[in-house]
Formats: sequence, structure tokens, C-alpha cells
Amino acid sequence: MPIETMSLVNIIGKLSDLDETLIRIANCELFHPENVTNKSKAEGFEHVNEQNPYVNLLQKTDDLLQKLNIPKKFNDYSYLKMSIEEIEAFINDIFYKVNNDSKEVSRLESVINLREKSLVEIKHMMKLNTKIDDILTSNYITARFGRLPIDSYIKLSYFKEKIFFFLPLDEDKDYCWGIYVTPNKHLSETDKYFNDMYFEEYCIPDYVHGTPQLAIENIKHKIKREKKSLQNIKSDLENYKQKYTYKLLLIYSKIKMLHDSFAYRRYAVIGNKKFYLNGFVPKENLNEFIEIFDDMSGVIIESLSADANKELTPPVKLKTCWLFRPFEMYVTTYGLPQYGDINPSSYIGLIYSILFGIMFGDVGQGICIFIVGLLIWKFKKMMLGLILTRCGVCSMIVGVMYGSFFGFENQFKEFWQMLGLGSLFPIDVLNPSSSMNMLIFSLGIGILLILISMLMNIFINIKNKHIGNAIFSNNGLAGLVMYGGLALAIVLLMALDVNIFNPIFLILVIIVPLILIFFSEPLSNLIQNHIKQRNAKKEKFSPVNAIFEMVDILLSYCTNTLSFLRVGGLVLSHAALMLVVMKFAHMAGSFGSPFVIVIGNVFVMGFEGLIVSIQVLRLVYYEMFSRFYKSEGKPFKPAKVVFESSKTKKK
Amino acid sequence: MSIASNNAVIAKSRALYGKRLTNEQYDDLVKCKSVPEIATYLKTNTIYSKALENINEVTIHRGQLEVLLQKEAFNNYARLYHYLNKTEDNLFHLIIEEFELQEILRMILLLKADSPKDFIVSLPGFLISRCHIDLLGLAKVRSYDELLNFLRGTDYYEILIKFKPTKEEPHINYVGCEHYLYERFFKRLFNLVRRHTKGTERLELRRVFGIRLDHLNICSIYRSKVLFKDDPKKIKQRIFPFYKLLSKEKIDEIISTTTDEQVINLLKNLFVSKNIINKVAKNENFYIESYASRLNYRICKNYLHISKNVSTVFYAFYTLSQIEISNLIYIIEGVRYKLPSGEIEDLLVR
Repeated sequence: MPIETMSLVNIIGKLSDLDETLIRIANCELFHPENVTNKSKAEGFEHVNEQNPYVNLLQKTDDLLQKLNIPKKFNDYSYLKMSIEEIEAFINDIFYKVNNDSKEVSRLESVINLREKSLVEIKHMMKLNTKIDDILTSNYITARFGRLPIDSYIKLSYFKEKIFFFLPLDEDKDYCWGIYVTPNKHLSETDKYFNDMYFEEYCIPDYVHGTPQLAIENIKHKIKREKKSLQNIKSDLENYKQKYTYKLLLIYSKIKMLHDSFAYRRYAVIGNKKFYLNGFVPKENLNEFIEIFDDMSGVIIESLSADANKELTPPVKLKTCWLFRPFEMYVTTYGLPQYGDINPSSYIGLIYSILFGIMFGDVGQGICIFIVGLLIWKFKKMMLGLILTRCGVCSMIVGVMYGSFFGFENQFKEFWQMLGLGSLFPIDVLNPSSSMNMLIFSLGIGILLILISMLMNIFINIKNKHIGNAIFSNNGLAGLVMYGGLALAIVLLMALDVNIFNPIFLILVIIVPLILIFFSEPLSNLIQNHIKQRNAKKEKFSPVNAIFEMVDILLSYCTNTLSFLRVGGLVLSHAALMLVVMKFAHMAGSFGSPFVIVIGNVFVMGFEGLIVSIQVLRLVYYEMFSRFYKSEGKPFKPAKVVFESSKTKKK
Repeated sequence: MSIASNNAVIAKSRALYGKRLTNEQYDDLVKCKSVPEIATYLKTNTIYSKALENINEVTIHRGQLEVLLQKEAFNNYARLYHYLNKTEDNLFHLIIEEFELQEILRMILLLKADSPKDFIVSLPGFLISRCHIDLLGLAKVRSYDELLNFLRGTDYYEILIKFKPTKEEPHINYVGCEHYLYERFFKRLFNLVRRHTKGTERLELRRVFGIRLDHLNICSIYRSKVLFKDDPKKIKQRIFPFYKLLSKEKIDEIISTTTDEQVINLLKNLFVSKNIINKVAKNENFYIESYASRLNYRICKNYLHISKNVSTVFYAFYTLSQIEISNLIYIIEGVRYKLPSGEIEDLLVR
């Protein structure tokens, strides 16, 4: 079960080659950088700590692309023969022009918006046949145009004796538009009355002249003219876009590469006019990586085994066969394994698919799950789609065993008879004897999987030279002997009526392993110290802690085993749900039953499918992973530059 | 009135009530920081969106917002009234009469404060065409004598003439005017119930109005005895002579007690008042009227749901609607004057 083997790579080169080296590293996406640990300040080395000089240029280019509405993407810039200074001058020039045009567009849009709003307001004044200027520019009176709530308009008759009059011009259900006019010496008093009645004044813009009808014509004319200017400027911008898109994308790609690769400088140290970089490269890509620097004579690549530097932990890159590669998603969700451990993706993929198939066995529903998975992968590119395809296939296979097709049971009898297994298959899950067998079978699966998990734990610990854990832990040899022995004894007793619970069995299989597990910590430390031939710091053994841990361990054996009963339970519930659907279909009569069957199947696939997938994942995480899996791995993150959308790889 | 009309009013009342503000909406409103924010929220998220569709949320005045909300509530009553028995005396007319009464009292208060010119500012425009008296004419009153002249020929005149200021008592007795005007109003209310209703409808309306009056009496007694230490004669003048769960003898007994503890103990033992008094005793800052309103709210909510009588349902809906408008006004005023949200929430009845 492989994890990609890594090589530790040291890169040494002339300081003048650092930028080009980083660009090539970012381009190839094979190099996982690490901080250099074996060159210290005392030896004359120091970390590179410079400000990124490409920040402003990248920002301007970004803004330019946004203003011109050009989607960002990678273009091969190797044909771009412009120096950084030339690029900067070019960008500044275009930026200046585009920026001005964009500002003008915003201004015009704002002006047009205001004019259109004033048009709406002035339309309320259409009944007025006088020039607005004459009313507003009078020396002795002041006029205010606005709207008054209808309820306040009713109250105006109260003010009959006051020195103002209100001329209503337009009305709707809530407001009355009009002008109130008052002598200047009574202005503040009149304003107060109208404020108290919630009068909302509308300030007539300076460009409104003449009668309202004329003013409306003028405003419409102005709007038309401004819209034309707006259109011209927008088409100028569109011309820029047409003319410069390709070149801008080349420049963007180059600057983005320079900017992002510059960021990786923080991993380098410099000293004696040289730079030093550390990192990991997958061993199978090592030659390819070295070839990238063939033409750079000033750069030396040194490759070592992954564990050459004890201060550096190699990153983990999973390597799984295509069939189970989608299940890497579940492994990475839990956490990556340590470097040197096993990659459980294939194992999980197999177990997951089989358990799903057992709990969701139906040929028709399996086909639907498969198709849905394919569609999810095709349109959304989600790994979940591929997982569903595997689960769908297993559902189909187990569905044949159950003889189930969209809830119709006892199908495929002829097929099984042809194979000579007509007496065993198809399995009627809801038959009482079959049901009990199903539950026992589930327990059997659970015991088997737990034993396999323990074996895996032993293997991993031996591989990592943790002999103590491999032998004495509850998931090591001691636990395996006790759990496996007990399970075997129970199976023999229940199935074959053979009782092997004699004193020798009890001592060898139960008591001795229990004692070893109880003292697993000090025993492991003893062995570890002997192997490493040094006296490690011994932690004080606490019997009280050990007792509580023993209780927990014994309980976990029981609970983890019984947890697998849910496999059988879900098989039965799936069958029962489909039985209910069929009963409803029967009650619906010949016209309604097809609809009931379709809707029932869709419901069960959605509802039960979701529950089954969650329960299987739970079994994988809690009952299996907890026994052998340590998720302390560091992900492999190669240096790279991320463009906004698809990137075409440079040849 | 036909059964179909009955059912229409009951169904419509319940449907309108169903669109009331929820607790979550109240919480959102209390968190608003300004009147425009409240206006925007009401316009976009509540049943008041249609009433506020043409407002400018940014510039709207607090007073205008309150008037629009009151107008919308009033329009709802008017829509329901369309299906009610349109005789001269019906509940809707009495509701208008109560609004009219409130405007007259507001004018008296302004006369007392020497600012009758402010009457026109807060006068709800939607009432002008509905009330029997000329509210615009009332707005022109500048003294108590002018008020009496204006109201001559109406029932209001007969009551208010008794409180005309004299040389011995030059100040306007607002409390006395309010008490006797409301006493007249409640008499008309009970007469209406007696003449135009029967059976369970009569029982329900008597209970609803009676408990409301009992609460008014309890609040009056509590404030007068415990907070203002008034003498029994003055307290008796403020009691409404309509007794539902609180009998006249019981009231006399409470009024004649000498200490606060005796008053509180007596009120605690009464069914109608024990919840109110317990609450008030625990929290010094708790307004007794606010809690009485909460009880009134619960009673009306109950009747809105269970009653089969159109007048009961209509009146219950009216009360609940008025409480909602009051809540909104508390929130608007509270936010406007920067009260802490906790204090605003304490004032809400829900």
C-alpha cells in the first residue's frame, strides 16, 4: 500500500541564479520546499528577507484585467520579449488610459442616473404651465417644490388664514406633489408648518429651465447625448480589450510567475554569494527534476534519501491505483498517514464499497447510484461521484444475491439455478432465519475487519521499529491473540458446540495477554531502550491509570464488535422500507402504483443511501482507523503558481 | 347580520393577525440603530411593506412613520367594518369614538400646557373624515372656553362644563376630564353590548371589557395608594364604576387600608390582580400598566383564537393590533432617543 517515496533534494547555486531557479521550481510543481536547517547564522548564512518587488505591478495588471473584463488565465509567456522595465512602462500607459475612461464611465452613469430621477420628479409638475425659473428666482417670494403626505394635505385647510398657498400638481394614494409659495418674510414660519406636516422638498437641479414640459424635453435630450458618450467610451474600452487581451495575459502570466515564485525565497538561505534550498521531490520524478536545471551550470542538485536529515519530516503523497483513488478523499479527510506508514486508501475503498453494497443491495438502485455518480463526476468533477460509481457496482452485485430489483424481491432465480446455487440464492432478507443469519454475518464481518486492523497495526509498528507496541499493545500481538482467541472460542461453541474454554486456553489466550496489555507501557519502554541502547527517560507507571485503561480497552472490544450489527440492521431496514413502498403501491391500484414505486425508490435511494454512506464511513473511521492508523502525516505541497482559471503546462 | 359575513370577519381577522410581527422581527427591530433603518426593515420584511412602499426611508420623519403605521392599522379595521352590521351603534363606530375622545383629551392636555397650536401637528389625517366632530375645527381652539363652545350640543360638553376653570381653581383638571369622559365611553360600550348582543357574545364582550376595567382600577388604586399616598376620597373618584371580577366592596376595602403592605397583600389574594402584583413586587422598575397590558394581550389573543362571535373576535383583533402599533412606537421612540435595547424590550408587550 504505497506512499510516494521521496528524495531529499538540496539545491545550491549562484545568487544570481536564484530567481530563475525559483521560477523553474514553481513551473515544474515537483518540489516541496522546506526551511533550511543545517546552515546557521553563526556560519555566515542568513534567510532571504526582501520585499517582493512585483507587488505593485501585479496589482496594476490585475486591476487592468478587471477593468477590461478579461478573465485571468495562464498564457505561455516564453515568447514575450519584454524586460521588466518595458512591461512596467507598457502597463502604466494602458492603465492610465483605461483608468481615465473607467472614471468617465462611472461619472456619466451617475449623471444619467440623477437626470433620470429628476425626470421622474419633474413629471409630477406637468400641470404647471409657468416657467420654473420665474417661480424659483423671484425676489419677494420663495417657492418650494416637493411632496406632502395625503393625510397632511387634508390638514392644509386648517392654515386658510396663513400667508402661503399650496398648489397641488399631482397625486397618488400616498402623496400629493405640489408647490408652496410664501413671502420671504414668512418663510421660516411657513417652512416650519410644512416641516411639521412632513413635507419632503425636492431640490430642482440647476439644469432644469423653462416650463416643466420644456425641461423634460431638455433633460431627455441631455440623457440621450450622455448615453451616446457613454457608448463611445465603452466601445473604446472594448477596442482596448480586443487589441491587448493576448499581450496582457502574457504579461500577467509572467508577472504572476515572478511575483509568486519570489515568495518562495523565504525558504532559501544565502551566504558566500550562494543560495541554498532544501526540499523533497518524489523519487520517480527526480530525474525529470534534475534535467530542468541541466542548462544552468551554476546550480547544483544534490539528492539524498528522505530520512537523511532527521530535522526534516518527509511529506506524504498518496499513491493509489485508479480503482480506489477516489477513496483518498476519505483518508485525507481523516488525516494523512506518516511517511513510511501504509496508504490505507485501497483497503478502505474495498471495504467501503463492499459494506455499502451489502447494506444497499439492489440491482436497480445500484444502477441508479452508478449513473448518478457518473453524472456528478462528469459535470461537477467531484470525487464523490467516482465513489458512488464503485458503490453502485457493489450494490448491483449484492442485489443479484438478494434477488432484489427496485424493491421487487426474489428476482434472478433462474440465473442462480443455472449456476447450481438455486438453493442458496437469492437470499430473502426478511425471512426470520435469514434475518438472524444476516446479523450473525455482520458480527462476523466486524470481527474479521477488527482482526485485519490489528494485523495492520502490528505490521506498521514492526516496519517503524516500534516492537513494544507491535507486541504488547491492545491492538498488537497480545490484543490479537486475546480477541481472536475469544472470538474463535465463541464461534466454535455456538456453531459446532465445541467448548475450548479450558484452563490452558484461559491462561494462554486470556490471562497472559491481559497481563501483557496491562504492563504494555513499561514493557514497551524496556524494549525500546534495549533497541536504541540508551537509557531513555522512563515515565512512571501508574497502576490506577492502567486499570482504567484496561476497562476501556475491554469495553472497546465489545462495542466495536457490536457496532457492526448496524450492517445487518441497515440491510433489514432497507428491505423493510422497500416492503412498505410495495404495500403502498398495491394500495394505490394499477393506475397509481407506478408513481408510488418510482417515488418510493427515489426516496429510499436518497434517504437510505445517505444513511448507509455515513454509517459505513463511521465504521471505517471509528472501528478500523482507530486501531492502526495515525494521521500525523504532512501533505506534499509542491511550490507552484496558481492562476485564476485553467493553466496550460509549459512545455 | 348574515352568517357568511360573520365568518368572513372572523376569518379575515385571524388571517390579518397571522401576519403580525414575530418575536424574531421584534428582536431585529430593537437592534436597529436609527429610524431609517427601522423604516427600511418594516418596508422590506413585514406586513407594512405595502403601506410604506412609497416612502423615502432615508429621510422619513419619526412622526410620519408612526402615523403611517397607525393609518395602516386603522385601514384594517375599516376593511373588517365593511362586513359588520352597519347600524349607527357598532363596535367600529365606538372605536372611532375612542380615537375622537383621545384627540379631545390631547387638546385639553395641550391647553393645560399652554400650547394648543401643536395640536394640528400630531393630528392623524386619516381620522379627519371619520370622526363626528370637526377635528380641524378642534385644532383652532385656543382656550377652555373656546373648547366648550366648540363642543356645545354634544355629550362631551355636559361632562367638560363641570371642569371649567374658575377663580378658585384656575387650573384645568385633566385627570377629572379624562376619568369622566372615559366613564361615559365605557357606559356607551356596555350599553351597546346590552342592546345589540346576546348569549355567549354578550358574556364574552362583558368579560373582555370588564377585565380591562378591573385592570384600570387596580392600576389606579396601586399608583394612588402605594406611590402617591392619596386619600381614599380622591382615589374613589378615579374608580370606574364597572365591576367584573373586582367587586365594589372589595375596592372599598382596599382603598380604606392604611399601609402599603395591606394593599399589596389584599391585591395579591385576588385572582384578577395577584399575577400583576407579584410581578411588580419583584421588580421596582416594572410599570404596573405594562404588565396589565400583557394580561390584556393574552386574554384577547385567547379570544381571537377560540371565540365564534364576530364582535369578540373583531374587538380582540383591534386590541392586539393597537398593542402591536404601541410596540412599534416604543421601538421607534426608543431607537430615536438612544435607549438601550434592553430597556426597549422591557416596554414591549408580546
